[in-house]
Amino acid sequence: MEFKKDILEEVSIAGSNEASVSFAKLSGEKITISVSEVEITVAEKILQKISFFEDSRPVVAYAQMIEEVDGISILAMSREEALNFIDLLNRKPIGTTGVFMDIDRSAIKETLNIISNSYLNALAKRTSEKMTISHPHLVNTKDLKEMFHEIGEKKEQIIVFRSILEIAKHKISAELYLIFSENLVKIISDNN
Amino acid sequence: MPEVYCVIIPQGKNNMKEEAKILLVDDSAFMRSVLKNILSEAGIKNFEEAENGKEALEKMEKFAPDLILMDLIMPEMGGIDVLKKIGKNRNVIVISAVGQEKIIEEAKALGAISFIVKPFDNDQVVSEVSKILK
Repeated sequence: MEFKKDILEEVSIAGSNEASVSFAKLSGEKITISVSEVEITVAEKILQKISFFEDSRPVVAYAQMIEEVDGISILAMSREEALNFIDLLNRKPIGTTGVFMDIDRSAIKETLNIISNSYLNALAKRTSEKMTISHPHLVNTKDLKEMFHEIGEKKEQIIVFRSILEIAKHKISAELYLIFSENLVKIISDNN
Repeated sequence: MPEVYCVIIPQGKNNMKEEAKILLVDDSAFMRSVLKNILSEAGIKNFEEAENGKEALEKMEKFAPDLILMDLIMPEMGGIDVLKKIGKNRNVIVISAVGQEKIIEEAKALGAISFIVKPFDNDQVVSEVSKILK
Protein backbone atom coordinates (compact mmCIF):
# COMPACT_ATOMS: atom_id res chain seq x y z
CA MET A 1 0.00 0.00 0.00
CA GLU A 2 2.91 2.38 0.78
CA PHE A 3 4.22 1.95 -2.78
CA LYS A 4 0.80 2.85 -4.17
CA LYS A 5 0.49 5.82 -1.83
CA ASP A 6 3.88 7.18 -2.97
CA ILE A 7 2.88 6.99 -6.62
CA LEU A 8 -0.52 8.52 -5.94
CA GLU A 9 1.12 11.38 -4.03
CA GLU A 10 3.47 12.03 -6.98
CA VAL A 11 0.46 12.04 -9.29
CA SER A 12 -1.39 14.38 -6.95
CA ILE A 13 1.47 16.90 -6.98
CA ALA A 14 1.81 16.74 -10.77
CA GLY A 15 -1.96 17.09 -11.24
CA SER A 16 -2.28 20.00 -8.81
CA ASN A 17 0.61 21.78 -10.52
CA GLU A 18 -0.97 21.42 -13.97
CA ALA A 19 -4.37 22.54 -12.63
CA SER A 20 -2.81 25.58 -10.94
CA VAL A 21 -0.99 26.61 -14.14
CA SER A 22 -4.32 26.51 -15.99
CA PHE A 23 -6.11 28.35 -13.20
CA ALA A 24 -3.41 31.06 -13.32
CA LYS A 25 -3.77 31.38 -17.08
CA LEU A 26 -7.55 31.69 -16.84
CA SER A 27 -7.55 34.22 -14.01
CA GLY A 28 -4.41 36.13 -14.98
CA GLU A 29 -3.35 35.93 -11.33
CA LYS A 30 -0.71 34.19 -9.22
CA ILE A 31 -2.00 30.93 -7.75
CA THR A 32 -1.00 29.19 -4.54
CA ILE A 33 -1.69 25.49 -4.05
CA SER A 34 -2.68 25.41 -0.38
CA VAL A 35 -3.77 21.76 -0.40
CA SER A 36 -2.69 18.89 -2.63
CA GLU A 37 -3.59 15.53 -1.18
CA VAL A 38 -4.76 12.06 -2.06
CA GLU A 39 -6.64 9.57 0.03
CA ILE A 40 -7.96 6.06 -0.42
CA THR A 41 -11.22 5.93 1.52
CA VAL A 42 -14.94 5.12 1.30
CA ALA A 43 -17.54 7.53 -0.06
CA GLU A 44 -19.37 7.93 3.25
CA LYS A 45 -16.21 9.21 4.93
CA ILE A 46 -15.42 11.74 2.22
CA LEU A 47 -18.77 13.44 2.90
CA GLN A 48 -17.50 14.51 6.32
CA LYS A 49 -14.37 15.98 4.77
CA ILE A 50 -15.81 18.08 1.98
CA SER A 51 -15.61 21.55 3.45
CA PHE A 52 -17.76 23.36 0.87
CA PHE A 53 -20.87 21.59 2.21
CA GLU A 54 -20.62 23.98 5.17
CA ASP A 55 -21.07 26.98 2.87
CA SER A 56 -24.75 27.92 2.60
CA ARG A 57 -24.76 28.61 -1.16
CA PRO A 58 -21.65 27.22 -2.81
CA VAL A 59 -21.28 27.20 -6.58
CA VAL A 60 -20.51 23.59 -7.51
CA ALA A 61 -19.67 22.28 -10.97
CA TYR A 62 -19.67 18.55 -11.54
CA ALA A 63 -18.67 16.22 -14.37
CA GLN A 64 -18.41 12.50 -14.86
CA MET A 65 -15.28 10.77 -16.12
CA ILE A 66 -15.61 9.18 -19.52
CA GLU A 67 -13.19 6.94 -21.45
CA GLU A 68 -11.37 4.13 -19.59
CA VAL A 69 -11.44 5.12 -15.89
CA ASP A 70 -14.60 5.63 -13.78
CA GLY A 71 -14.89 8.70 -11.61
CA ILE A 72 -16.16 12.21 -11.13
CA SER A 73 -14.73 15.70 -10.89
CA ILE A 74 -16.03 18.57 -8.76
CA LEU A 75 -15.08 22.25 -8.53
CA ALA A 76 -16.50 24.36 -5.71
CA MET A 77 -16.28 27.98 -4.68
CA SER A 78 -18.39 30.15 -2.44
CA ARG A 79 -20.88 32.29 -4.33
CA GLU A 80 -18.94 35.50 -3.66
CA GLU A 81 -15.65 33.94 -4.73
CA ALA A 82 -17.25 32.64 -7.91
CA LEU A 83 -18.60 36.11 -8.77
CA ASN A 84 -15.14 37.61 -8.21
CA PHE A 85 -13.54 34.85 -10.28
CA ILE A 86 -15.92 35.68 -13.16
CA ASP A 87 -14.58 39.24 -13.05
CA LEU A 88 -11.01 37.93 -13.30
CA LEU A 89 -11.95 35.70 -16.24
CA ASN A 90 -13.48 38.69 -18.02
CA ARG A 91 -10.53 40.92 -17.01
CA LYS A 92 -12.92 43.29 -15.23
CA PRO A 93 -12.51 44.96 -11.82
CA ILE A 94 -13.50 42.76 -8.89
CA GLY A 95 -17.08 43.53 -7.87
CA THR A 96 -18.34 44.15 -11.41
CA THR A 97 -20.45 40.97 -11.53
CA GLY A 98 -23.20 40.95 -8.91
CA VAL A 99 -25.62 38.43 -10.37
CA PHE A 100 -24.93 35.19 -12.24
CA MET A 101 -26.04 35.29 -15.86
CA ASP A 102 -26.13 32.22 -18.12
CA ILE A 103 -22.75 33.12 -19.63
CA ASP A 104 -21.24 33.25 -16.10
CA ARG A 105 -22.58 29.80 -15.27
CA SER A 106 -21.09 28.62 -18.53
CA ALA A 107 -17.75 30.16 -17.49
CA ILE A 108 -17.72 28.27 -14.16
CA LYS A 109 -18.50 24.99 -15.95
CA GLU A 110 -15.77 25.66 -18.50
CA THR A 111 -13.33 26.37 -15.67
CA LEU A 112 -14.04 22.91 -14.25
CA ASN A 113 -13.58 21.45 -17.72
CA ILE A 114 -10.22 23.14 -18.20
CA ILE A 115 -8.61 22.63 -14.79
CA SER A 116 -9.90 19.05 -14.39
CA ASN A 117 -8.57 18.11 -17.80
CA SER A 118 -5.22 19.74 -16.97
CA TYR A 119 -5.09 17.52 -13.87
CA LEU A 120 -6.14 14.49 -15.92
CA ASN A 121 -3.55 15.25 -18.61
CA ALA A 122 -0.88 14.89 -15.89
CA LEU A 123 -2.54 11.73 -14.58
CA ALA A 124 -2.81 10.21 -18.06
CA LYS A 125 0.98 10.39 -18.42
CA ARG A 126 1.21 7.87 -15.54
CA THR A 127 -1.54 5.56 -16.73
CA SER A 128 -1.21 5.39 -20.52
CA GLU A 129 -5.00 5.58 -20.57
CA LYS A 130 -7.22 8.18 -22.18
CA MET A 131 -8.78 10.20 -19.36
CA THR A 132 -11.29 12.98 -19.70
CA ILE A 133 -14.57 14.29 -18.34
CA SER A 134 -18.01 14.70 -19.89
CA HIS A 135 -19.55 18.16 -20.32
CA PRO A 136 -19.98 19.70 -16.85
CA HIS A 137 -23.15 20.67 -14.97
CA LEU A 138 -23.84 22.94 -12.03
CA VAL A 139 -25.31 20.96 -9.14
CA ASN A 140 -26.65 21.71 -5.70
CA THR A 141 -25.06 20.17 -2.62
CA LYS A 142 -28.22 18.18 -1.83
CA ASP A 143 -27.92 16.26 -5.12
CA LEU A 144 -24.21 15.80 -4.56
CA LYS A 145 -24.73 14.40 -1.05
CA GLU A 146 -27.30 11.93 -2.39
CA MET A 147 -24.84 10.85 -5.05
CA PHE A 148 -22.13 10.23 -2.45
CA HIS A 149 -24.59 8.25 -0.32
CA GLU A 150 -25.40 6.08 -3.36
CA ILE A 151 -21.69 5.49 -4.03
CA GLY A 152 -21.23 4.84 -0.29
CA GLU A 153 -23.87 2.12 -0.31
CA LYS A 154 -21.65 0.06 -2.60
CA LYS A 155 -19.04 0.01 0.22
CA GLU A 156 -16.26 0.22 -2.33
CA GLN A 157 -13.06 2.12 -1.79
CA ILE A 158 -12.50 5.29 -3.76
CA ILE A 159 -9.44 7.41 -4.48
CA VAL A 160 -9.89 11.09 -3.76
CA PHE A 161 -7.51 13.70 -5.15
CA ARG A 162 -8.16 17.08 -3.53
CA SER A 163 -6.55 20.41 -4.38
CA ILE A 164 -7.25 23.87 -3.10
CA LEU A 165 -6.12 26.63 -5.45
CA GLU A 166 -5.96 30.10 -4.01
CA ILE A 167 -5.74 33.57 -5.47
CA ALA A 168 -4.53 35.25 -2.30
CA LYS A 169 -4.72 38.77 -3.73
CA HIS A 170 -8.50 38.49 -4.14
CA LYS A 171 -9.22 35.95 -1.38
CA ILE A 172 -10.54 33.42 -3.90
CA SER A 173 -10.24 29.76 -3.02
CA ALA A 174 -11.32 27.00 -5.41
CA GLU A 175 -11.66 23.42 -4.23
CA LEU A 176 -11.05 20.76 -6.87
CA TYR A 177 -11.85 17.07 -6.39
CA LEU A 178 -11.11 14.18 -8.72
CA ILE A 179 -12.62 10.99 -7.38
CA PHE A 180 -11.97 7.58 -8.93
CA SER A 181 -12.87 3.99 -8.36
CA GLU A 182 -10.11 1.91 -6.77
CA ASN A 183 -9.37 0.45 -10.18
CA LEU A 184 -7.18 3.50 -10.82
CA VAL A 185 -4.57 2.18 -8.35
CA LYS A 186 -4.21 -0.99 -10.38
CA ILE A 187 -3.92 0.97 -13.65
CA ILE A 188 -1.24 3.24 -12.19
CA SER A 189 0.64 0.32 -10.61
CA ASP A 190 0.60 -1.61 -13.89
CA ASN A 191 2.14 1.35 -15.69
CA ASN A 192 4.89 2.18 -13.17
CA MET B 1 4.84 51.34 -71.71
CA PRO B 2 2.20 48.82 -70.61
CA GLU B 3 -0.09 49.81 -67.79
CA VAL B 4 0.26 47.78 -64.63
CA TYR B 5 -2.83 47.07 -62.60
CA CYS B 6 -2.72 46.17 -58.98
CA VAL B 7 -5.64 44.36 -57.38
CA ILE B 8 -5.90 44.94 -53.66
CA ILE B 9 -7.70 42.21 -51.74
CA PRO B 10 -9.08 43.60 -48.50
CA GLN B 11 -7.45 41.87 -45.58
CA GLY B 12 -7.91 42.32 -41.85
CA LYS B 13 -5.26 42.45 -39.21
CA ASN B 14 -2.75 39.56 -39.25
CA ASN B 15 -3.35 39.29 -43.03
CA MET B 16 -6.53 37.30 -42.48
CA LYS B 17 -9.31 37.62 -45.02
CA GLU B 18 -12.00 39.79 -43.49
CA GLU B 19 -14.73 37.99 -45.39
CA ALA B 20 -13.66 34.58 -44.06
CA LYS B 21 -16.45 32.59 -42.41
CA ILE B 22 -15.76 30.81 -39.14
CA LEU B 23 -17.93 28.23 -37.41
CA LEU B 24 -17.37 28.07 -33.64
CA VAL B 25 -18.39 24.71 -32.15
CA ASP B 26 -18.31 24.41 -28.37
CA ASP B 27 -20.95 23.51 -25.79
CA SER B 28 -19.65 26.36 -23.63
CA ALA B 29 -21.28 29.69 -24.52
CA PHE B 30 -18.49 31.34 -22.55
CA MET B 31 -15.79 29.73 -24.71
CA ARG B 32 -17.60 30.61 -27.95
CA SER B 33 -17.78 34.20 -26.74
CA VAL B 34 -14.05 34.26 -25.84
CA LEU B 35 -13.07 32.90 -29.27
CA LYS B 36 -15.39 35.30 -31.08
CA ASN B 37 -13.87 38.27 -29.22
CA ILE B 38 -10.30 37.19 -30.00
CA LEU B 39 -11.02 36.69 -33.70
CA SER B 40 -13.16 39.82 -34.02
CA GLU B 41 -10.22 41.83 -32.73
CA ALA B 42 -8.07 40.13 -35.37
CA GLY B 43 -10.46 41.35 -38.08
CA ILE B 44 -12.79 38.40 -38.68
CA LYS B 45 -16.42 39.43 -39.07
CA ASN B 46 -18.44 36.40 -40.12
CA PHE B 47 -19.25 33.89 -37.41
CA GLU B 48 -21.75 31.13 -36.89
CA GLU B 49 -22.03 29.13 -33.69
CA ALA B 50 -23.02 25.58 -32.77
CA GLU B 51 -23.19 24.02 -29.32
CA ASN B 52 -22.69 20.40 -30.32
CA GLY B 53 -21.51 18.27 -33.22
CA LYS B 54 -24.98 17.59 -34.57
CA GLU B 55 -25.78 21.29 -34.82
CA ALA B 56 -22.33 21.88 -36.34
CA LEU B 57 -23.00 19.43 -39.18
CA GLU B 58 -26.27 21.19 -40.00
CA LYS B 59 -24.64 24.63 -39.94
CA MET B 60 -21.72 23.48 -42.12
CA GLU B 61 -24.14 22.91 -44.98
CA LYS B 62 -25.88 26.28 -44.73
CA PHE B 63 -23.00 28.49 -43.65
CA ALA B 64 -20.17 26.86 -45.67
CA PRO B 65 -17.41 27.97 -43.28
CA ASP B 66 -13.83 28.53 -44.40
CA LEU B 67 -12.68 27.28 -41.01
CA ILE B 68 -14.20 25.39 -38.10
CA LEU B 69 -12.93 25.80 -34.53
CA MET B 70 -14.25 22.82 -32.62
CA ASP B 71 -14.23 21.39 -29.10
CA LEU B 72 -14.07 17.61 -28.63
CA ILE B 73 -16.29 16.78 -25.67
CA MET B 74 -19.83 17.98 -26.30
CA PRO B 75 -23.33 16.62 -25.64
CA GLU B 76 -25.26 14.79 -28.40
CA MET B 77 -22.27 14.54 -30.73
CA GLY B 78 -18.62 15.15 -29.90
CA GLY B 79 -15.84 16.53 -32.05
CA ILE B 80 -14.27 13.15 -32.85
CA ASP B 81 -17.57 11.94 -34.33
CA VAL B 82 -17.84 15.12 -36.40
CA LEU B 83 -14.32 14.57 -37.74
CA LYS B 84 -15.24 10.97 -38.63
CA LYS B 85 -18.24 12.26 -40.60
CA ILE B 86 -16.56 15.09 -42.50
CA GLY B 87 -13.19 13.44 -43.04
CA LYS B 88 -10.56 15.78 -44.41
CA ASN B 89 -13.02 17.82 -46.45
CA ARG B 90 -13.11 20.82 -44.11
CA ASN B 91 -10.55 23.02 -42.38
CA VAL B 92 -10.83 22.15 -38.70
CA ILE B 93 -8.82 23.35 -35.73
CA VAL B 94 -9.62 21.43 -32.56
CA ILE B 95 -9.65 23.51 -29.37
CA SER B 96 -9.97 21.26 -26.35
CA ALA B 97 -8.87 20.99 -22.72
CA VAL B 98 -7.97 17.35 -23.37
CA GLY B 99 -4.29 17.57 -24.16
CA GLN B 100 -3.35 13.89 -24.16
CA GLU B 101 -1.16 12.60 -26.97
CA LYS B 102 -3.48 9.71 -27.89
CA ILE B 103 -6.43 12.08 -28.35
CA ILE B 104 -4.43 14.74 -30.20
CA GLU B 105 -3.10 12.07 -32.59
CA GLU B 106 -6.58 10.63 -33.13
CA ALA B 107 -8.02 14.07 -33.99
CA LYS B 108 -5.16 14.84 -36.38
CA ALA B 109 -5.40 11.44 -38.04
CA LEU B 110 -9.10 12.12 -38.66
CA GLY B 111 -8.35 15.42 -40.38
CA ALA B 112 -7.87 18.16 -37.78
CA ILE B 113 -5.27 20.58 -39.16
CA SER B 114 -4.20 21.79 -35.76
CA PHE B 115 -4.90 21.15 -32.07
CA ILE B 116 -4.94 23.91 -29.45
CA VAL B 117 -5.08 22.91 -25.79
CA LYS B 118 -7.19 25.04 -23.42
CA PRO B 119 -6.37 27.30 -21.71
CA PHE B 120 -4.73 29.01 -24.68
CA ASP B 121 -2.98 32.30 -25.32
CA ASN B 122 -4.98 34.62 -27.57
CA ASP B 123 -1.96 34.97 -29.87
CA GLN B 124 -1.82 31.21 -30.38
CA VAL B 125 -5.41 31.16 -31.63
CA VAL B 126 -4.84 34.09 -33.99
CA SER B 127 -1.60 32.55 -35.26
CA GLU B 128 -3.16 29.13 -36.02
CA VAL B 129 -6.23 30.68 -37.64
CA SER B 130 -4.19 33.08 -39.78
CA LYS B 131 -2.08 30.18 -41.14
CA ILE B 132 -5.25 28.78 -42.70
CA LEU B 133 -7.02 32.00 -43.68
CA LYS B 134 -4.13 33.75 -45.42
